[in-house]
Amino acid sequence: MRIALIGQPNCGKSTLFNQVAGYKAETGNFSGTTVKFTESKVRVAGEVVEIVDLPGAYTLDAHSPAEREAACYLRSNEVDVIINVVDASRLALGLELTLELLPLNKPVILALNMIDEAHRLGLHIDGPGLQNELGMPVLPLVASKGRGVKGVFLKALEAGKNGVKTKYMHGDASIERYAQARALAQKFVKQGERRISHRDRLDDLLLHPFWGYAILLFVLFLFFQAVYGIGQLIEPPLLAFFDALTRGAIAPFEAETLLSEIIVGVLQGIAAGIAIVLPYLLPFLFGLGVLEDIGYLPRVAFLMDALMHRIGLHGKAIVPFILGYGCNVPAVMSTRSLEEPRDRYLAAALATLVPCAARLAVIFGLVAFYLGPLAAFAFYLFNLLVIAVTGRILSKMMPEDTPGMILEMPTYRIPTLKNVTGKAWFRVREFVVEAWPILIAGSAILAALNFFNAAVAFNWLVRPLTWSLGLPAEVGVPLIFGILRKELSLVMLGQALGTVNFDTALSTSQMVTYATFVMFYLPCLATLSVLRRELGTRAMLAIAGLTVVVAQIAAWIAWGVTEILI
Amino acid sequence: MKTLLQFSPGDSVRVIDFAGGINLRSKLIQYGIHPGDCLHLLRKAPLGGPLLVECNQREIALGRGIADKIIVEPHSCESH
Repeated sequence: MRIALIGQPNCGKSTLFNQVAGYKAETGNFSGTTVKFTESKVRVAGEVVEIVDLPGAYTLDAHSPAEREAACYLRSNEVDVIINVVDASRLALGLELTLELLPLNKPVILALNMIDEAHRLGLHIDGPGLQNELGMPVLPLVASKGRGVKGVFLKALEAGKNGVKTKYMHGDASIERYAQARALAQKFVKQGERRISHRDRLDDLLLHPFWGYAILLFVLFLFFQAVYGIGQLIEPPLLAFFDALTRGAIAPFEAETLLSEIIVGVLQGIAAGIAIVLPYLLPFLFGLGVLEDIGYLPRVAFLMDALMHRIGLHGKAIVPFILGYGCNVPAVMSTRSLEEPRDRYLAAALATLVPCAARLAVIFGLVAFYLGPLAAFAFYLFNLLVIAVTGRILSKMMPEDTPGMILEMPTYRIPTLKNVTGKAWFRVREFVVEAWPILIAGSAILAALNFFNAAVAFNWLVRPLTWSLGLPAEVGVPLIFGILRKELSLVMLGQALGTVNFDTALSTSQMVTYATFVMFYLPCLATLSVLRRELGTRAMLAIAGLTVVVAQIAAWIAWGVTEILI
Repeated sequence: MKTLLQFSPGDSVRVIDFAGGINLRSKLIQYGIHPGDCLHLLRKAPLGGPLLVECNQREIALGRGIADKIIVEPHSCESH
């Protein structure tokens, strides 16, 4: 038997799923976090049933890709029972979706989630009355605390066996459903005394025209400090471990052979994945999950909307940008929550220009180390400027066809460890499955090419580019390897130049030009593969081409500015 | 004829119609804003930022472009 969970965004559907399935589904306080279906086998009363968590949908008249998927799946024959989770404090809205489920002719269980929050708001819901009227089981639920979970699933099992179908008359047009849902809510919900929530007072502060932004900056500062702090703690020992492992693996080979080089390449690919995932991606996703579950991200979107309009996007698109500073992979994935394909494309293109943690290493290693922290800061500002200009130009080329942002501001909630870790794991798994294999394969291929002395060929391949930027031919190899993993552009630079004291081999302006180019050109292989999956091969190629053009122009500007200043 | 954009925080209005295509209409309805509904304008972000309205016990942020397409009239709604 297969049970599907459906409900509107933020109703607590994925929380319910997590309660029974363990660390599987993503739950978020920001609409659109469950984009793929998550399925789990669960034992209910001695029977094994499959539970599917569908993306949150306001209605089955689908708009965003996530909603379309949910509607399609529900209409298929694979679902035996539907558990419809509604936010009890907003019954009128939730019932609209419930009414839409009736024509599907499947047993439906209505779970009134967050019933405790509804009580706090002074709402009294006549569950039995609603049950009689709708002709479907109606049960109370507090999914986050696990209350009522068992009852809901037992009822679902029972309904699935009996195959009870509902016969409630429903309207067809969305306006009719709306009126009907409202009438139902009016009939069965009594409004008592509303207790004052802290929410309004918190919003007064967090959405304040001045303090709101000050707090935002502070929160982001803490967030990045924490993520980079953890990353810098974990990364060196990890890399040392893999260096030792690589040395051990090639020890049996007396000279460099094709096999030994490929082994080194594969190990480097594995190390690249681990060095990206464990130190940066994991803390980053964990922190993001906390911000998401608290309900802060929609507030960030609210604050940033005006600014994002200047680059042709709207407030919701801020999330990919924040994520981009950690790693471009989750940044590109997060563009899914945008409804319009044009917005997804534009946000993904711009997010890949955001310097991730690995590119930060290059900026620090070259610019901050040789030219001082002030220069590194200038790099960041320059980066923002380039993104803004690119955004403006791109949005002129792709005129906006939507009037802007519509976004629900959810109530603040206290995040639970279970939810946050579950979600971080869910997202990391996506990276591991989708991007990592490509990283390893690419690394092996490059190693093999290197064995056949293709390095010299690499240098000549990109010579027109390095020549036009006034860089020595030797930087070609680190640039190409940087596509695998961005910090290789710094690590392999020493090897390519024959010295780790870069200032002896490169002039100041050459260092600046090189660092600028690295900051923008081609996203890493992992990001490219996610771009392809999210937007298609053509879009991936177009974005890759765009980044090279942007990098070239930006590097020229940086070169010119440095020549003038020094 | 006034649009939501012309009102200030604290005002209560009633939605008359949407001055947009089917796409906008269904999107607003999806977020629980229908013609005839009462909107409570909670705040307006500065510098062309979005508006925050309360509608059917949900708080919805609306970009100015969208707010300018919601035709409303002043209306003292009974508080929920």
